[in-house]
Amino acid sequence: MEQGFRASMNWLHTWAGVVLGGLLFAIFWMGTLSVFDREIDRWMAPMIRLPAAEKTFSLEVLRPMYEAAAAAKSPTFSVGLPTERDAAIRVLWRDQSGPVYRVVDPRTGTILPDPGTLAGTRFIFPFHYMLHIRFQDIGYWLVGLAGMAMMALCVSGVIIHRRIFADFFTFRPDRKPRRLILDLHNVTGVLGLPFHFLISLSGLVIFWATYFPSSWQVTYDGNRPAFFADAYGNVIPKRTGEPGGLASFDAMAAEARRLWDGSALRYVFVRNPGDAKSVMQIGRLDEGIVSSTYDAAYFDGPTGALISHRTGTPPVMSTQRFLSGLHFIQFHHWSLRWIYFGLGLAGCVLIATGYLFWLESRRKKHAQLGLKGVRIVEGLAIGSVTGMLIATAAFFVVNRLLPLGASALGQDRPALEVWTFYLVWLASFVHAWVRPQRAWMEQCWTLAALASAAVLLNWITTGDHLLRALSHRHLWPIAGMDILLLTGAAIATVAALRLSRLSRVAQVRHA
Amino acid sequence: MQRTLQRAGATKAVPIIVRLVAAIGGGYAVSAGLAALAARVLPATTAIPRSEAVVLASMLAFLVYLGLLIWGFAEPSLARLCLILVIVGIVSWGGAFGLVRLASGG
Repeated sequence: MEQGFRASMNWLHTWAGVVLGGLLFAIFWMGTLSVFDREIDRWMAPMIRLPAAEKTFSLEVLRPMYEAAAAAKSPTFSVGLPTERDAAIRVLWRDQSGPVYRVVDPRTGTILPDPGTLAGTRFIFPFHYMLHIRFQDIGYWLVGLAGMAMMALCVSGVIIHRRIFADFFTFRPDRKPRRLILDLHNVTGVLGLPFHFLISLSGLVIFWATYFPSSWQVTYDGNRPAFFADAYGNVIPKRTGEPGGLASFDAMAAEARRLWDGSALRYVFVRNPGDAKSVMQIGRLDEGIVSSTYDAAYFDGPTGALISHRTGTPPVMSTQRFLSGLHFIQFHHWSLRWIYFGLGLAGCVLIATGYLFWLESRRKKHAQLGLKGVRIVEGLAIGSVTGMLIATAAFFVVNRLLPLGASALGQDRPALEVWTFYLVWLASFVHAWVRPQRAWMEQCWTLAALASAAVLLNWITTGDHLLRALSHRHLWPIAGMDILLLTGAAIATVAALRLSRLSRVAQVRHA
Repeated sequence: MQRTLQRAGATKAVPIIVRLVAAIGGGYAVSAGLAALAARVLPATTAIPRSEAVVLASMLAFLVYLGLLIWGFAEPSLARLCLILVIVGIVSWGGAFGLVRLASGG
């Protein structure tokens, strides 16, 4: 531990960055992709590349699935309704074999073929907030630790920064690489500071009840449902075992819309399907405000009578919902969506350049003293940065290569895609530790190849090439994805070319 | 020579481990304790409803924890850091559970 405030903050910034940088990069990268999770879904599941639904469609198309859920005694029946970004209805319930997931075309009511992929909303987005580690909620806690570390890195970064204002305007690409890296680290850090701090804080605040449960535990005797019933007025019925029908979906939906002055609806959620005491909860979609509201109406299932509804929340909860909405960006604002994406990428650059600066400023000294630090951290950095990007690209490529319904080694198609992601990611670490001199360059080439291949494979397997995608409004998400993949491939190519030139110069010098 | 170097490394490592545990673990325990105490005290002393006090206390706990993390690594005296964290931890958790017992008539 060094002495002095600035020195101790320098120590904290360095160590927190080196130890948690890989985790932070993974979370930032997946979060950045989650900004376009629905668009990624469309790219990865061609059957949901639907034109936007007509304004009105009958929710009665859900009835056969509801009956199936009731027959299987599923505890819940949950329906995500279409939005501007997602034209399909998504339905989820449980039967004896596990969760059942269906995608429905609202225009015709037909059940679309099984997408066979977890895609953006079910792989990339949950990875962002829980790393797919369910055991003991460890994934949530690791992400929480990273979130706290990110805020501490923001604060300590500002403190160790001597010339914060001047560095707003300082970027010297002509200087030595180490200075350039630090400039890039500072410029993304300083310009992105409010975003990076608030996105970390709001992300933590979403899961306040998980991260700081002490407050509700001591006030509600450890009874979480009691707290949620008190805070949100949730209506949770007890299953009676007596069979019961369900009144008209459309009548209840119309009543909910009337309660909120014609506002669109976000979801339909039934507890105890098929039971005499089933309750249908309908949630409001408000794309016009930042806040991610909890507005919901509750109906008695068999009769369709309104039990209760809530609109708005008290001040503190409204603050929590505002911060959550700020993080979730479910509101309708395309330019802000792109700004979130850009700032998320800036966060990735910030973390990557932090690693590079650490490596460049120690490389010579560690080589002289025979220390292994640089080699270990370099492998970690390569696997965390380019390795993560390659694994993501491989996830897209394998999605276009596997036929629908494919399975191997007892794993179904979605699992095979996920296995590909993790194995490629692991391989990138191995590669980085085995070939440290050439790993950055080789991984950049790999990334360029995979990203281009993804675009090509999308064209071959779906026929939606860039020109076609650009000329149809409902295929713009596909065009956007292809353009970003090609841009990524181009940047990776430029990086690989420059790295190979640098390594040739180094070889000439050694010779 | 090798052995003295190792011993020097070990004596340097212990305060760092203690500080990591104090700042990260101790800081969390103290923030959670203060959140519990605030969630208990606010509804009793102000007009804030119970469910609102719970959310407020937990949200502020993130900022308290951030402050404790920064201070945990900046405080020059490790002994003072541990002492203050232990005292505030005992007072907050003790206060919160004391109020729970008081309310249940125990």
